[in-house]
Amino acid sequence: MLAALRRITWALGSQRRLIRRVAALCLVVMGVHLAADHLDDLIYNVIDAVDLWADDSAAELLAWLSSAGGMGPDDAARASESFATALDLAEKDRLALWLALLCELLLDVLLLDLTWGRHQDSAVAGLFAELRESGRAMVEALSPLDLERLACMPALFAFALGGAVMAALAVENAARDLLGRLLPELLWGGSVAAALGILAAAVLVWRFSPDLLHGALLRSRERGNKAREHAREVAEAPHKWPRVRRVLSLVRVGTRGAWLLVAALPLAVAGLQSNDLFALVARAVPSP
Amino acid sequence: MTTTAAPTLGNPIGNGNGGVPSEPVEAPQRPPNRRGLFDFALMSVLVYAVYAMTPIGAIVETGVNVARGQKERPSWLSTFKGRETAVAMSEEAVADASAAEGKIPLPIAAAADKHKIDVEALAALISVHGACTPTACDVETPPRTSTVYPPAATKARLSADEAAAAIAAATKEHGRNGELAVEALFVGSIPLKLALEQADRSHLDNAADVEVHAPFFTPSVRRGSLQGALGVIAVYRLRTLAWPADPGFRITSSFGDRVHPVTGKKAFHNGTDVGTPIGTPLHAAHNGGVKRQSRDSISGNYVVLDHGLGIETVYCHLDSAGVVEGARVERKNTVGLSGNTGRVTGPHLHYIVRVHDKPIDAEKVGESPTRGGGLSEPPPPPPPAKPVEPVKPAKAVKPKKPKAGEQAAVDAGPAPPPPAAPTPATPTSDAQTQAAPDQPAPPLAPVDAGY
Repeated sequence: MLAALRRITWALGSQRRLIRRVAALCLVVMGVHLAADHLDDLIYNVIDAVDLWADDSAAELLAWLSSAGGMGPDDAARASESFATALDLAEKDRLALWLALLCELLLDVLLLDLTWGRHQDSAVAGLFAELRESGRAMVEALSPLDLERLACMPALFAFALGGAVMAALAVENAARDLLGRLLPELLWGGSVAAALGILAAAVLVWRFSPDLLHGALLRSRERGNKAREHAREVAEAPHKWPRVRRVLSLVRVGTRGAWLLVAALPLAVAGLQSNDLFALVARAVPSP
Repeated sequence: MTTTAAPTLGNPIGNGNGGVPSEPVEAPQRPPNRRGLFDFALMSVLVYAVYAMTPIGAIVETGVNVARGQKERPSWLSTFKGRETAVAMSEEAVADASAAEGKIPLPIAAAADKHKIDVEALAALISVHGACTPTACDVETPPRTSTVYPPAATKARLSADEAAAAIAAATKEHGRNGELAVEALFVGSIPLKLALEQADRSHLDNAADVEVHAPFFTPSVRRGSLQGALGVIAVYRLRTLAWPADPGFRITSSFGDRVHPVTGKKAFHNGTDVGTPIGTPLHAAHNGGVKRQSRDSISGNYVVLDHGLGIETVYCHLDSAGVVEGARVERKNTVGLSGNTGRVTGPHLHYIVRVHDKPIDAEKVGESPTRGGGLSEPPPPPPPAKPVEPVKPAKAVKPKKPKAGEQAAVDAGPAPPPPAAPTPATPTSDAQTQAAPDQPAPPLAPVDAGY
């Protein structure tokens, strides 16, 4: 029995890269969803403002047309009416949700490559030797620094933390259910479940985020090098306006990863501001 | 911890090969990983969490259903907060708003009176899980009734009197409101106490609200016995919706099909118009959160209140909103002042009650004047008659600006139902609406052209 368990463990251990990559991907996907919840309200406000502006502009245009004799007042009123009612409260609500979902899926796709990362095993053994090796590789990968390398680690870490919070809530629910069945009279069952949720989040971050960040940084370096190489090839290729072409390719290389810094990172931090985590900590404290 | 061999990546910067290792390095022989099973277990939990808690799970499920030729399509949006109730409630339980309509049958009124409980709570319970004849009512015994009312332990059905006694016992034990009493009958007294305690300790506001403390029930309770309570609580909330304006104000256009005042065509009116003058304070129909407070060219200044369990009320054409988005309002708090903003032909309130995004007739539920007002607390007597100010032209309707005298022509909607109280309006804070008492109100019937 023990030997079989050991064999399974080792067999799974030989696939640890795949397992950790899938786990890290799940953490990031959940973190992105937590962030997309905040995006929904933001998108609604933007749609609302645009709708108001469009309705007012259309009403003014039709009023002017009506006063200029271009159309009858009734026709103008009807046209203005149908234009304004095309996007009503419920439609705006639904549109905001769908756009938030679209943004979430887009973010998932954009982060996929970095989250999957680049990993290669080394021959070194031992925790400290591995840590030293890993740290050295990461410091080396930071040079030369570009926007993507600067932002990929904090953004992915924030998303992974958000994912861990969501996973913690799921574990808390499951634990509470189990305790409710096994020990229905245990008054501290809720606190124990919350503590288990926090423990689960900590374990998830411990097991999967180092590999996630390491792999993302190395992958980012690889992407950066490829982009620079491509830019060099493009710049050297004959073109009608070679300087313009070169400037454009330089701008393109220079702004790589800007989306991570200006969109993904703020969104990830906004997702983390959800009070779920603090409420979870409060629930873990046993009542006197 | 990660184990990456940096040397295998070579010199990544400007080496001409893009930093990609040009050839594989020698495969290192690593000791077996002893945490493989542990990592696999954690990964499995995470994969399940992604499936259950993100839209990706719903998308995958949709794909599987399509491949298998099944018709069920899970909602891709249901995992967004604010769109899902904390508890999984079937829409049909609430969408059937007819359970919240109608007068209270006599046996229910008598039993509620005898046990000094909220008659609407008993009526909601019986209308959802029971039946009435002209002389008697009974209800299927809620699953955990015996935890608060031991005589119910052996009974499959309870009479109205017994159900009232059970609600009275639950109210005595949990105290805070009728919703908790109903909930206790379904989920049991101890689980409810534990969930309330957990919600309190999480520093959540309004812990007594079922949607706030429901996450602290075990999933089996949430999926099981709580479901029976949710339908009752939703109907109870609908039955106790306060009327947003003083019942003395006339209903100028009812819910349903009508002739559109601008287009002249038959159109569906998704709310109820109440002829409130500018500046009239409007009240929240129930406790809830301010979901939206905004403005658009049709609804003018508007406020959307979310009362939970899929119930929302909308207040349109406000002169000004008195609440901000995200705020919490209590029943009958002022949410704003009536106005004539948006696409209107005169000042009024366009009031919508929505259940799971579907508008329902506000006059048939709650304390609406046509339903007979609040059954547990009678409506106040109508105030002395005051005239309202002359109708102002709509702000946003640029092509057509109807004047006060043109109202009759514009308001081509169906005749309003007979008011429960005299037509005159209450005095408002707006000086323009003040006039000598007992003066009859002008024959206004302002409606909105937007709906």
